Amino acid sequence: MKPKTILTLALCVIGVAGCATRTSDSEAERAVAEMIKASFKTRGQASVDRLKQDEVQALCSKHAGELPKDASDAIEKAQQATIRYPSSGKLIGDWRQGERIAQSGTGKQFTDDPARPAGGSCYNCHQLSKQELSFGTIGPSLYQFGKLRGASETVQRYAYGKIYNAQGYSACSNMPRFGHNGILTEEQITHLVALLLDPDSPVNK
Amino acid sequence: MRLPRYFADADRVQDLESRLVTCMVTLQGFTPEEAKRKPFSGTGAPMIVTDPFSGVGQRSVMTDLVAWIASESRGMTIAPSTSHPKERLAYQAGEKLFYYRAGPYDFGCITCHGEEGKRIRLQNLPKMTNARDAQRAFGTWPGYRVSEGELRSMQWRMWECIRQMRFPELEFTSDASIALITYLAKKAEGGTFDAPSLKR
Repeated sequence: MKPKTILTLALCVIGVAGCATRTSDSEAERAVAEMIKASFKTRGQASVDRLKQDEVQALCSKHAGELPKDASDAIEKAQQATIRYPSSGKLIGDWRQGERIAQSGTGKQFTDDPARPAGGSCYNCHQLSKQELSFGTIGPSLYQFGKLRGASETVQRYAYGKIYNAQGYSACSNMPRFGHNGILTEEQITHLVALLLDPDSPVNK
Repeated sequence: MRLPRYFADADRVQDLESRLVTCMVTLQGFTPEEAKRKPFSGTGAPMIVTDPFSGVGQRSVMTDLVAWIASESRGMTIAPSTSHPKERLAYQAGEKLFYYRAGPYDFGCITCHGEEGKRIRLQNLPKMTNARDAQRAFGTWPGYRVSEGELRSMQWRMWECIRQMRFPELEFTSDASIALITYLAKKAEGGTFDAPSLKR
């Protein structure tokens, strides 16, 4: 008998009810692991490797909605450290290109051409410019983002960093880690920073 | 409206589509590959043209059958069974899959269906842990999607959500698809089945 089994049995004696839940839970976990292996197939750029969770994904799945404070702090610290700022030091690009990137929701699906750049899907979840009425509400409104905050270096670095890796600021955020996971290039992110911060951007009108 | 449920002859929990595959194989003499060849209809939209099961203007007999059989359950109460251990296991696995975040976008079902009153662009999103939302979502598939000009099934709904989550392709009638549908059915328990419906 493995030590782990002995420990489980010992815990069973202590609390019978808790044990019944735990046993069926591990059975469900095994079933899920089997499903992850057998129910999906690689198609186009979406290979089955994508279902392997990194540490953050595993923690966020396990503690959905109730992540312990220490785990949350640890995620934010580690993810913050992944952020790479452009070597040029220039964080504000062209807001016009940023608007196009914000509008595009394609990229990384098995039906998308991997040779074409991905979009940022920003409007899927956020309000940005006032002209675009078709915006989602999973994320907060970003209308007048720069007008309210200015465009100091601190604000620029925050906006760039948040798009690069949102989990560095908010553990288990719903927002994809666009830079960290290679969805958007550094240059594309600077265009989105411009969309948020440039005084001429429709976001700040 | 009792599906998905455990079927002893197949020794697994089955939704309507996987049950139809079993019947096509055991009673009608199709191979499993033939029975599963064309789960969804083609429309000419680029996404569907590239699908190996479909082509421009090609109808899916599977989807047509699903729609007719579902229409016979219209008005019934959604009452999934959880008396068999495999039904309970499918529900629990489905729940875990619902919270499973992965892929380049870190998405899971929970990303879009975990909060009340949210939308993507202008599309309202049901919160699946909320009975009223789950009843309306689960109880209205299959549905005719105006945006595609096609009839779509619950298996298609799972397949399409998984595609948009940037996951690899969810196999038609796979255990994961049935576990997710079982979880949703249980969340929708007590609601009135109202399919086929009209969808955006």
